[in-house]
Amino acid sequence: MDSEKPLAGGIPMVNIDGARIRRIREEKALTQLYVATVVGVTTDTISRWENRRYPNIKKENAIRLAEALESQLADIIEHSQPVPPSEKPAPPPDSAVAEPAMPSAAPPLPKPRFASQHIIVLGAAFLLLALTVLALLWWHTATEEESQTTAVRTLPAHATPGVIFPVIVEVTTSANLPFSLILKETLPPNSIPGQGKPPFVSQTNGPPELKWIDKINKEHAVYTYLARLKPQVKMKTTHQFTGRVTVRSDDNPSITVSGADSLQASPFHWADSNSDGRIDDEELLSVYETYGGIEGLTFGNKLIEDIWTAKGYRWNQKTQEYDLLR
Amino acid sequence: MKAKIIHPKRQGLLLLTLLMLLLPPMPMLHAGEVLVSGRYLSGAGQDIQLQITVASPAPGTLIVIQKLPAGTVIETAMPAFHQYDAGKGEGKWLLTQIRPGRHVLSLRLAQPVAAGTISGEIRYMDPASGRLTNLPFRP
Repeated sequence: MDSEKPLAGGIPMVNIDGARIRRIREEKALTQLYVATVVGVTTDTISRWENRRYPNIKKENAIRLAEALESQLADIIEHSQPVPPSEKPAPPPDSAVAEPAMPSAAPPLPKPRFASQHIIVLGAAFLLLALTVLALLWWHTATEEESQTTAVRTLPAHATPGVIFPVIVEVTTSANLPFSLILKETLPPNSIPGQGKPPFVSQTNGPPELKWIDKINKEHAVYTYLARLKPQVKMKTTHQFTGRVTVRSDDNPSITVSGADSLQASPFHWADSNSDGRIDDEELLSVYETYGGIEGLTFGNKLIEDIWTAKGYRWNQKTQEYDLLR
Repeated sequence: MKAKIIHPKRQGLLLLTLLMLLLPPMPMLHAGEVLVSGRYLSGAGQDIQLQITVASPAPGTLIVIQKLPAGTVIETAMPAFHQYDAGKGEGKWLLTQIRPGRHVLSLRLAQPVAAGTISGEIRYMDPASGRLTNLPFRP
């Protein structure tokens, strides 16, 4: 990389192009808060990066920044002033630019004038420092095992094209609270998103993408939305859902949403989990236990209760509605 | 004298060990607690009343089934039945977002029914196991 500069401590640094970063961010309608959360820095840091011409930042942060801007690393680094690392000593990093959450390189130690005495003192100090670093590393590893964040999606196994179905993503964490997160859900291309609880903040064309930017104050957070397959979707086709949770943390920047990730187009209602042409008591209770506790989420309760009270139902392709059997 | 000093310590340790062994089964008593129960306040005649008691934490949704003699005509039901098959004499209430406490369900029949001819059933998903639970009850 032409603008890559290793720091004395061995941490690779790069010069990024502030103006270009701002331009890409604004073109993609991304907020500084969003980018800051993805990278794991403050909005002030993003602002400083954008306002300086060629700020010098850690390469790993530049990679995250490129990810946040949905761009390549090459798109955001500065190319005009190549500085081969072997020819020039690396300039000190812009201390105002480096984010506070990341560990910084130790300042160079002064050269000893009186070797014998000072070497002993410095040696002892170095040993103490090394022991402290080792203890901190051990503590960090131990706590890291305990602090985990998981995201699990609940999704019906099938749904009829044109009929709304609910999706739940539950985020559970044992990390220190509160913390910021971004949940990004990518829906199948042949689907239409509906109501979100809490509301999602942005939505793009192409495969529908829903985003929530949130600050979690408790260990468990639930994000729900309604969606439907487009009416022209063929039956028995499978449709994939993907999602990622980005947590404001240096160690674990992105978590894949696990759990159910596919849904099949079917003439059977999504609440009819065994596809037997009726919604029985167990299926009804299961639907209400799973989705009924989310206030304000109208997932077609009336239709489900109507089917439950009927003897059965059949999908009518012409009317694009269910015919109830009385 | 020495034996008298040592023995209470051993006894204390033994007691402590016993307590530690006995304490873990205690939460099981809570686990076995009845979350939902039903009984008839009035189980014969023209007016039928059922009382559903819901503990906390409890399932948020219940289906209450009322079995009556076949062909029974209902004048009023409070709340209204979601489903009633007069031929079978079976009605269903769907109670959603139910809060812990006591809930009364009432029926006024066109004709009185004799004692012992009716029964009820509560269905819910057990919050712990996620399985369907059937709870029959009689007057």
